[in-house]
Amino acid sequence: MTTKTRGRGTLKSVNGKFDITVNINGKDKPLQVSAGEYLLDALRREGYKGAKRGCDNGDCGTCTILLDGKPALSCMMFAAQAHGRKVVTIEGLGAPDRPHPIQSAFAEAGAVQCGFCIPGMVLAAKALLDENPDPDEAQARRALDGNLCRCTGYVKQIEAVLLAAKKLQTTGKGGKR
Amino acid sequence: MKNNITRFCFPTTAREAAGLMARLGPRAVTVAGGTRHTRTISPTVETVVDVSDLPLKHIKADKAGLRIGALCTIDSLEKSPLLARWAGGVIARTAGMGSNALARVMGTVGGNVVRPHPYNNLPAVFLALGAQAVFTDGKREKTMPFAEMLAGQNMLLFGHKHLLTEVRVPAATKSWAACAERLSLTKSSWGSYAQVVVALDLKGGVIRKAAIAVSAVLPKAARMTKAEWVLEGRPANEEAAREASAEVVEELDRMTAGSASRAYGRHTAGVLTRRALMEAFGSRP
Repeated sequence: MTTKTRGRGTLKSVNGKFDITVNINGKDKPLQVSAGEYLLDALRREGYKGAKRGCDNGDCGTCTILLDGKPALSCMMFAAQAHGRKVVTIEGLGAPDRPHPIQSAFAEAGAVQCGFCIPGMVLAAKALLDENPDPDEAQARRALDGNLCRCTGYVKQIEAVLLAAKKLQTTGKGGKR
Repeated sequence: MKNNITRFCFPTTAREAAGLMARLGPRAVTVAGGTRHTRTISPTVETVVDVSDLPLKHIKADKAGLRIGALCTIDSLEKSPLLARWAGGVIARTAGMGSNALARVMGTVGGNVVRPHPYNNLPAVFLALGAQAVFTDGKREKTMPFAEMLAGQNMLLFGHKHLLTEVRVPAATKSWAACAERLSLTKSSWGSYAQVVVALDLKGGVIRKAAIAVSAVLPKAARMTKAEWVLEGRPANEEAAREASAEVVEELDRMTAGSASRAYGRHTAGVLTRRALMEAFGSRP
């Protein structure tokens, strides 16, 4: 049950459930979420499996999404808090047959081993490149310092971010869009 | 999974938010960045007051000084050109020391200063710069020195009866030399073993005023007043830095230890004080 006053108003639960609307990957999607359900759980239940459950404590970054264009830890916010906001998951960035230049760069740079952390890293990289289309290595490292990888030493991922920056500049798709 | 929440409110004004908190008392909790809060909410809470829509995301300066909205993210402090020029950029650099990129983008100034974690990085820098906390109870706005806000009985009110709206930093500190030092497991660690912020009013190589704030080794950030007295009126040199750091160690010895062992915490804070002072001396000789 949604009672709109000003802004996003007030959400009241009915039988422990909240009806919310979240713009996910460009489409408004009505969701029914439980009280206290985290956004990560709601997204995965709805089929957005790219956001991964890792630490459940905001430390590993595998659950990273973009919330209103900024990277956010979906395990650290209630699903109801996303009501009226824009969420981008890895599924909204590209597809296997039409990968986003950042996804292509990760593949070309050999930055993917088990792949578990990669959706979060790609989205963190997207947020960086939207804000700073030409980052240096230190800036790329800093932007990804919340995304843990247990397979690699991060070298390839940083190379991938810098390669993605070049790709986006070449294709004229750099910067916020 | 917490199934006891029956309402999410998204107020658009601080007065509205504070009014809700006052009316609902312990049955409500405020959430902004939520980097830790959403995982630690009490089972008695029925209403979540999400304050992230409030217009408190400003960083600006006027004649009185710097005004930082409580909903500024840690990341926005780190990237602010205005803060990069204020007191040697110490606020921006301290913001950049805290945790990882994702937590800095989500975490807010308000959450960092009113949540009583001893290792939160912003209380020490605001304390050293003599900041004031501006808050509302839903009826009127009040201002209180930061040091007073950090006192136990006042901290209990924030997030329940009081809503922090702004942090004000005095204009005089703009030209101060300041530096922050932190020891943590890694650069991206959430917590620190010790953190020291020094802020100095220097003229002609002489320390006119000194502020040293220490956190992480104490339950909450505190000023090291005796070490400040050691510095005031003296030339900014290594001898002064050494004596002040020794005084910090002694002063900490008289206080309760926080997250690190007492001896290690004291020693570390002393080393960080000397380093921070030397850097501050060098940045504005």
